[in-house]
Amino acid sequence: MIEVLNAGLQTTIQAGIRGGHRHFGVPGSGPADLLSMSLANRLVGADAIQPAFEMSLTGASFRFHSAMMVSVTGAEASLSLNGVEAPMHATVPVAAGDELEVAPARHGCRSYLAISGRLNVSEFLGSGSTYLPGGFGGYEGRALKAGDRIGVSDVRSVEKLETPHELRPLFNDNVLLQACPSSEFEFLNEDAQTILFEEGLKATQRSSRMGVELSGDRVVSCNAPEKQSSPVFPGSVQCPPEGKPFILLADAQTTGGYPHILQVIRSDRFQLGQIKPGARVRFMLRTPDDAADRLRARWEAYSDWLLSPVI
Amino acid sequence: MALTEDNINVIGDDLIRVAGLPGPALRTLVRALRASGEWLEVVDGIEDCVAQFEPLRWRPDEAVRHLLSSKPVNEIGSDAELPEVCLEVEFGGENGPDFNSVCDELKLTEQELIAAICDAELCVDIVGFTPGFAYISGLPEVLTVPRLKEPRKRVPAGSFGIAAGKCGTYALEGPGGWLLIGRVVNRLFNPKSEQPFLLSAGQKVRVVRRSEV
Repeated sequence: MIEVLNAGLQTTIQAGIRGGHRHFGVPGSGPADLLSMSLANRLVGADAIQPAFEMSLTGASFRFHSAMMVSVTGAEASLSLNGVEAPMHATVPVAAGDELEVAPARHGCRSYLAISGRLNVSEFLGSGSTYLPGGFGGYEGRALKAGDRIGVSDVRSVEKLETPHELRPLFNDNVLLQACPSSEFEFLNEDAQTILFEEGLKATQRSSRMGVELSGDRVVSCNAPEKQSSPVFPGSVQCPPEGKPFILLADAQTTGGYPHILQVIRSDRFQLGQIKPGARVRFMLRTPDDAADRLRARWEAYSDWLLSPVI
Repeated sequence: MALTEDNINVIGDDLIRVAGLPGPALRTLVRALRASGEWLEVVDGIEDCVAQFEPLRWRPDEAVRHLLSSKPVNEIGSDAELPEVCLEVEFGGENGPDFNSVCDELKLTEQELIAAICDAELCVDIVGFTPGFAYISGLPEVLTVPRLKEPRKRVPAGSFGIAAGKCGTYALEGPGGWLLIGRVVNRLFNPKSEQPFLLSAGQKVRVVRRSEV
């Protein structure tokens, strides 16, 4: 069993993507940064999408009620085990009664704690991922709070590992996102394109697992004719009339009527979960073919380490 | 009607949007793509649809070829419609807290409002925005009421609402801004079923009043 001592700003349990139900309005959920969660699970010998804790910004702390192996990846933060510094990106053995604290993120936004056992989560439509607005999956469909005790089963003993240095994603507060033009891209004027691709924008406080709002000194205007509700996905960048674009994340709604201007390419999508309020975000235009090449190159780089393609 | 490259727009490295097809052809295409099992998601918009593919399996051009060559797509237009769903609705009372105010606003008696809804030929536009919420069009224009100025934080599952000239059904509990005039007796959501949600886009709907017990 794992006890939550302090859940910080928001800690949820995430697992695989709840796929195939978007046409019923059910988003995929799953980790906001799938790459980091995969790397955490790799260190405890687990499948990429074994249920794990997703913490945000402020970190969180936990007490383990039995021995197991754990790992933390994602946003750069200090870890301490019973007050003694512990490494990120490494398998760390913990004993019954041990306390692990993940400090506030220095860079990036979300960290992942994986364990060498199975967290007992409630499955909903084939996934244990928490979807907060719907109140399902994870632990009682909600964010964790101090005092919650999550059951653990099938604890395995695993080999101690470290993520190879070249495979550790580095996060900073200057985020460059590669993106392809989407349905209403053509309605962005030159000024809007200068803001998106050269000047950049800042991530505002309106930031959650559903999306991140961006704001600049000037508005991004998209003069697209009004459109009927159309499907949107994680990575979609929409531009509402007030000129503050927002990027959709794992828990985003499934349809929307705002102009869909850009789509962040698959190989950069993990970064979306690491954009913290105040970070500067700039886009770089790619063609779909470029995007496909980059995804293959990314997978090539990780394929010796990760067990299945999850990026 | 033939689907051509003109209807197709590749978005990034894992999405394809199809637009510019008449409604029935679009719905048939959506069902065919979904039934093929080759796409991760096939999502209905009101005038378009977007299919998501596994980007390490297909490059964008391969996905386009796949979409254009999938067999049922060539037959779109020869439509096999979804069966009409009969929604049994209990109007007013505890489950329809806005029923009386809607009657007042529209200057209709209770019987007139119920009859106008039950006589309408309704159709699900899309299911979305939130899990299982069905946007159902086809109400006569006289039934147009605005949404609540302040959405409710909790609308019970099964609620039947109207707003902006449409009906909406809440398959799950959640926030909502539609005027609630009743409750659907049918089970809108069954997590154990292979088709967990009763309503899907393109489906014809008829409302019947729950017979008095």
